Amino acid sequence: MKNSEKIEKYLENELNETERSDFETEMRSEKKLSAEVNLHKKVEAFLSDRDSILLNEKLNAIYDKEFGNKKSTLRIISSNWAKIAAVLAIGLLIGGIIFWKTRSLSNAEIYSQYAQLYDIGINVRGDSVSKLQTAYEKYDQRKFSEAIRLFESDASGNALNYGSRLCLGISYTELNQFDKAEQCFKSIIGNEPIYEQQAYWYLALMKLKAGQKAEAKQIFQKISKNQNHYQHPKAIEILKLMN
Amino acid sequence: MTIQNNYSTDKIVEGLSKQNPKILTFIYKTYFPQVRHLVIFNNGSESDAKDIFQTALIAVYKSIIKGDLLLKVKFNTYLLSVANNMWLKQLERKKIIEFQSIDTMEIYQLEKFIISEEKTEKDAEYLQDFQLYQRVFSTIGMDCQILLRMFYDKISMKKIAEYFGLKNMEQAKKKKHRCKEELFEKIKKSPEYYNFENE
Repeated sequence: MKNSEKIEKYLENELNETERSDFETEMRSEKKLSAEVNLHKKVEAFLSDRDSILLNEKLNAIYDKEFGNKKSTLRIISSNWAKIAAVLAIGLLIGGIIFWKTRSLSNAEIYSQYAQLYDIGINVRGDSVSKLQTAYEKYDQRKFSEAIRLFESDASGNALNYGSRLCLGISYTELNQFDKAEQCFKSIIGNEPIYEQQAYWYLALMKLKAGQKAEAKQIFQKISKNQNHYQHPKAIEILKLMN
Repeated sequence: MTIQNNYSTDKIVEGLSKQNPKILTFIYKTYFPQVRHLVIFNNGSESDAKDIFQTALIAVYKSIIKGDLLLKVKFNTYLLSVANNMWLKQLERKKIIEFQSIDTMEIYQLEKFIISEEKTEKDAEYLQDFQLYQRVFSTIGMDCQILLRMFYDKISMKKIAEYFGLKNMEQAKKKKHRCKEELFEKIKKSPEYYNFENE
């Protein structure tokens, strides 16, 4: 096994007891290996520190807007996060086959046809496994009241992560608690590029379900004009159905 | 965007902790010019100033989030002190000794009472690491950037495999390993890394 592989397994707790002990002995005697492990730890901490990375990207955008070259703002945002967001969304969402309806559909009918649950695909690791994992399970099982209770209790000490906020917003929408749903989606927009497209999409669906047709239409129109939006074709379909 | 110039320290701290765009813009527009002056006046460039300012702000943000920031001075005094210290440490490391702006010295004197030497060291180290990793990360392949973001966003290996059209989780793990290797190799080849290691 290569050193880098061994280090990765060591840090991800995938070595058995004997391998681990051997590795630690080796580390104590080899300064270079120990330095390598330290580097891995630091980079892992950096990659896990998404809040700081996001903050830095927001600051880059402000700098470019207020003090620098505007082109580079677009470059940073679109070359990294927006691309990542778009491909994540396309890759992770369950696509539905849409049948064209010739008759006029009510808002509720359009909603139920298009509002599929967002599959967050999260495998919770670490200490917070139980509550958050259970919240996702309840959400998947469409037990929205229980999911909401669990998401909210998980958020009591810390800010809820954005993926969970999206699921919480969808759960509120399903239970017709529209104000709370709107708060969840809006807390994502402008703050978390990875889930921003999804937040717009579900906000539009929520508006539709809540009977706020004009607002819903406005958001669907925005999505329909954005060819990079993962729900671009569906937004066009919905607009046709709404007219 | 209209910028208010009367945010209290509490409002700024709260806004920064939530990454509120209005507050971030206010902080940047109001305090960056002072940091830029400090850095450029002391052997730095515009780009150094930007790095120092943003990393100082991130260091303050992290202290707020951890709950270990007890501000006894105004927010701007604290932020400028952190930035000032970071730049001083950078200069020390780069073996550039001149650092004699009167304004700067005032900030530095004040800072001595606000931030410990140990905290300054940590901030300076964090600055170096953050800048280096951020820069190198943006140079690895987009596939790898996406994969590592997904992994550290706690998306399961199964989903990652599905996304990349890989047969199973084992293949996804191998791909993740290759991406990490690419990242580490590039970090180790960077001149900054070489310099830190040989200090």
